[in-house]
Amino acid sequence: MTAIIEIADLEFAYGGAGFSLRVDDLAIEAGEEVACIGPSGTGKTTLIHLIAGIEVPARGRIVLDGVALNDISDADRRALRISEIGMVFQRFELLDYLDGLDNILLPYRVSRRLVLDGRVRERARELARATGIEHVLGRPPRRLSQGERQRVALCRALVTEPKLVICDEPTGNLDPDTAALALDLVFEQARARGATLLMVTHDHGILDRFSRVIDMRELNAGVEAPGVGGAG
Amino acid sequence: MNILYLSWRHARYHPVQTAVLTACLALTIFLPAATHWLVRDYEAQLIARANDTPLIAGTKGNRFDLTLAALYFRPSALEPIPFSELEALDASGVGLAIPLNVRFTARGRAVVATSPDYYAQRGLRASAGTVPLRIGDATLGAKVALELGVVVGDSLFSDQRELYDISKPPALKLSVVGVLAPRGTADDEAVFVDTKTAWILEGLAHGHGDVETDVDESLVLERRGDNVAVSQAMLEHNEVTEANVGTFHYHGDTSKLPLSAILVFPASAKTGTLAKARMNAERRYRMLVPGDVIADLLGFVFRVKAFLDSFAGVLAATTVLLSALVVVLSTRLRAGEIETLDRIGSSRFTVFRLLAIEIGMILVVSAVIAAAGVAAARTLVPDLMQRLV
Repeated sequence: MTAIIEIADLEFAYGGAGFSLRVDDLAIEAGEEVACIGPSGTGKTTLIHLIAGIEVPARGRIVLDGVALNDISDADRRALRISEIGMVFQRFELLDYLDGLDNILLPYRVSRRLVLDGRVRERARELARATGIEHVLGRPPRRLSQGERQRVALCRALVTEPKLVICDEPTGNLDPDTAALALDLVFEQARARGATLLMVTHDHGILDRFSRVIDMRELNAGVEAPGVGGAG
Repeated sequence: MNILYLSWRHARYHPVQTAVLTACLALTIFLPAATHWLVRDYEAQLIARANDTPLIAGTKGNRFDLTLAALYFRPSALEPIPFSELEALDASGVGLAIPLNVRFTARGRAVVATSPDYYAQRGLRASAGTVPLRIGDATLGAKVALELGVVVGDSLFSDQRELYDISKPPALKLSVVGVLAPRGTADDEAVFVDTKTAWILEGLAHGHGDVETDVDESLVLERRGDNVAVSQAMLEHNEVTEANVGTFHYHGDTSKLPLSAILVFPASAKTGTLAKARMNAERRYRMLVPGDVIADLLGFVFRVKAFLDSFAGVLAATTVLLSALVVVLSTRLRAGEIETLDRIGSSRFTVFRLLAIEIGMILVVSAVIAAAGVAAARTLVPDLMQRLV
């Protein structure tokens, strides 16, 4: 297997916040299903932001699918992110003025690298069918249930057929039953598309579903006081 | 195209915000643009009509009143100029002198009593019927005919100036013999009659039955030689017909019959200058160049325009500040959306375009609305302007 994420000698700190992250070595293989756990403030969200190229480390090296993020421009990092990474956020972050289908197709509407055509629309509908939200595609987010919003967000993350799906506490806002269903969908859809899954979670009850668990307390060699700083 | 679509969806999702912003911007564009075009049209129209009329002779007094009465038939309190001045101008060989009497109205529209030369000089032609050929005939301006729904063959009463004074002439029933083709000038809004018809309206000419044969003897007050004094109770004809047209006549000196103004079209610039100098030197009446008077009038108009421009400037500044506030607040409200786009990998330029295109769309729609408003104003407001002058 080949590594989709390789991190070496990474050092990162928010200016003035007192928080720092140091990762000496981390590799995630393509197709792996990895959970990232740890108390608040240990750098889980910071780590996935670094992997996604949203943040840039002060030192060290992050390689995403063979591309060293440090060596490319911000514009290239954004282009790589929108085409190779699907992201699901805790609050789903759907645009309130777009209906379900347009929210799923959003990456194609805000990127010149991605071309929106009939094939993509069909793929979006297929994802919606697979996740059981085809009947609500014409509704805006305010007329969707939490579970339906979560599934729209998942479809948006998968519609570009990314190699890596990053989920930041995707079930944090869902009731247990809906959360379980949502997780099933995330795993099912990521596997069906051969995507690597990296999920930040506080729910230790689901860790046995992952092939690997990264504990930030062990990974972050720079962490001094868990709970300190603004990073989650 | 995708960004345009997103901007459109966002604008549609916030209809009140979009509508208010669009209305403010449209108004900001409309006000100075409409003022500019209307003043330009107004100026062109005033200058064109003034330039088509080289000289105006009339009584001394307010030169604006004389000019506006002669060009736009605006009612004025100016003393009339006697018919003898017209005869004198004709005799001087200055060129063409056209009488105008605009002292009366019919159903609220100016009655313009003039000679047939007026129509030729103004390029007016009848789209139906003829120009007035006989006393009591009326030819309507296109707009008057349209607004009153009057056609050739109908009749129209003049407005009586003194309702309760029986010594004043009664309203005259005018026979509509023609309708003029529209010209987009004050002529569209007037009722044209022959010069002599105005003198009937003045009460200086009238028609009645023969005092020797047709009048009740009880109305005859005195007979002395050829003169017969008749009681005012005798009814005069209030309509000119084939049968009674021969009975209309003047009493007194016809050279003193009143005119509101005389339009003078000199044979040459030199004869015009001489005639003007001669009349103004005599100091009884005046002759003026309407182009000069209108130029002075436009000076006032431009001062009003400058005021409106400054007002529009303040409005524009206020709207720009308010729009900036709306944009800033809107951008703040969209901070979450902008962060989401940032995190999923949208370029900074795309986010900028998303915000800019929505503003651009609102600006374009505002400009289109303002342009439509200006076009509508240029079509509708000239009527108002004509009423203002």
